[in-house]
Amino acid sequence: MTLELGGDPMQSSRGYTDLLGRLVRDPKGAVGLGVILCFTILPFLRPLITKYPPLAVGVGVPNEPPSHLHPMGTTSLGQDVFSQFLAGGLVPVEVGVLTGIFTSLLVVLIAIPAGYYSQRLGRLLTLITDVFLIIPTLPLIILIGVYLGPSLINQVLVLTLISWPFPARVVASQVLSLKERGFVQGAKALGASDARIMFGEILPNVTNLIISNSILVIIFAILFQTAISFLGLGVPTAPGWGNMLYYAEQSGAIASGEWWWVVPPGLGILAVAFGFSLLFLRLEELLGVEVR
Amino acid sequence: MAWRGYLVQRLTFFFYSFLILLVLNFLIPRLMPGNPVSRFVNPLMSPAAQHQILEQFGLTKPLYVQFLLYLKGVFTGNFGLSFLYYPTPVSTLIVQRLPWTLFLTGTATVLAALIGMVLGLLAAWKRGKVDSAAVYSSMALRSLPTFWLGLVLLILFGVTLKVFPTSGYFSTSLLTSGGGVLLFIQSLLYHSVLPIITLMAYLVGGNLLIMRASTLNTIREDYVTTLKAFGYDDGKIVYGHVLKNASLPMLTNIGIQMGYIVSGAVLVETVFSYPGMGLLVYQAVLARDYPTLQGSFFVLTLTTLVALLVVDLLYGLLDPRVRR
Repeated sequence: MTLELGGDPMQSSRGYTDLLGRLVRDPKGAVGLGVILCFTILPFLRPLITKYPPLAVGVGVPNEPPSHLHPMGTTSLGQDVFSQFLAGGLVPVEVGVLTGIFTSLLVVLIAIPAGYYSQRLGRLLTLITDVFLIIPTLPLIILIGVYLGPSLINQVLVLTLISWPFPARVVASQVLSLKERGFVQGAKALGASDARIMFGEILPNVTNLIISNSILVIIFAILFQTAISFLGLGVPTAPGWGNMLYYAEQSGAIASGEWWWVVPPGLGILAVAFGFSLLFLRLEELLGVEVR
Repeated sequence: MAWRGYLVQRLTFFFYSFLILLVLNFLIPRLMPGNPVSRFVNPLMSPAAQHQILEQFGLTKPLYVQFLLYLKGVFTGNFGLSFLYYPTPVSTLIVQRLPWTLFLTGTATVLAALIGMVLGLLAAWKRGKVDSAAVYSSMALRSLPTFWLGLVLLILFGVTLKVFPTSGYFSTSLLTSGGGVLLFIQSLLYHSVLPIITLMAYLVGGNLLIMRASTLNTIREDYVTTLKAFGYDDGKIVYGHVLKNASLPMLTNIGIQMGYIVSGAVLVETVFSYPGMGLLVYQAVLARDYPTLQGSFFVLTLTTLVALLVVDLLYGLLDPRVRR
């Protein structure tokens, strides 16, 4: 039962089936998606490209600048930087995408009631959202991360805990304006339950907004995943760009100017995050949402 | 809603967020697996010795008593003793470090706001190539891991070219040579150049995008068209009218950014070994110094809340719709 009492044209009804096709038909979408896929697949193709495993110690002379044997030089333990660079993209993308998914679920559960109920519950949820928006992210993740201990799942959990306020605020204000619309008022008049209205009528109308915001969350999560790994809250055995930078800092590569160990992981992060930004721009056009 | 209503609203928000902070800071260590001291109670200790440590931290008392003791600690500025700098109180460390973080973040915030404002205004006013260049480069800036930019600047300008210092907040040689106040200030500024630039990089991107959007909204308004029709020149319209109206949304954004700026400071201070709160947090992470982490989280968040309150009140003074 879909009520169309002067309601929304519901863009989602056109379906998401052709979304991928329309996404890549534009240079922004194609380049964005291409870059992301490239760094997600490279870790699996790595054995074909270089013979050195990323964490194998002593495969070259320690602290050596780039050479034809090691195109990106070696670490202080004589590991191959190029191999680590190729392997390092999977962890941030994995953590980022999982955080994006979990955050979207949390946003649905918090933002829709926050916007829908104008009484006590709605006000409480709005207040909690606003406060979490202000709490300095990194000190909070560090505090919880130190207590939880290092694992990729824990990283996803803490990142989810700090990622939801921004999209929640955007979605809640959209819900606030939707609930005055005809189709919601109509459903109410027909005696539909609150849950039915929130998740049957309102949710389909904010899905696009949630999807495009989840991309922003992914970018945020990738940047913070690398940051907390750099600060020593990474998973020591997982090859990731953030860990590379942590080990570079710890072994004094910065002070001795070993740029070849520091520049590649950062460029990788920049490329992936920029890829998601391009994807976001394209999705915004396709889904017809204005976030700012 | 006039000024008084606005004031009450902002103060109420500050009060509630302070309450949430108090509860959150109390609950985090107690909700985590194991008890808060299980990580530093040596399992080889006798049960009696373990119990004594628990007692010392007040963890054998009922929860509400623990909470009252915790409140007493917070309001008397007692956050316990640091493990890393034992037996220095955490509060002493924080008092030493906080001013430097405030200096870095304050300067970066103001400079980034001014630069973002001018560039965003230009991008929206000129449109075309200038505009898309501005949008894409601020997107790239926002995709850049701040701390990595710092590492690269440090290697390039600090280690390779040796034009900027690589760590600290002033030359320690000044202590022995006893240079004047002016030399000291000069040295302070010199040491803060790279950290501030790094911190600004991200902020400028966000400010530019918001300023651009709000300028685009403003120049569509009737009074701008009217001024144009009367033959006012562009410069007068932009700086005399558009700037003032379009910068209000950016000011609100600065408030929201506060928490992010503090996060940036943690990373930037770590990279440049700049002895503020951020470096303290980093050292505490490596040493698993729980009291220092807990105290730093509390003080950093409180500082952010106060900064937000100040920005909000400033906004109220500037926006005529509120000031009335």
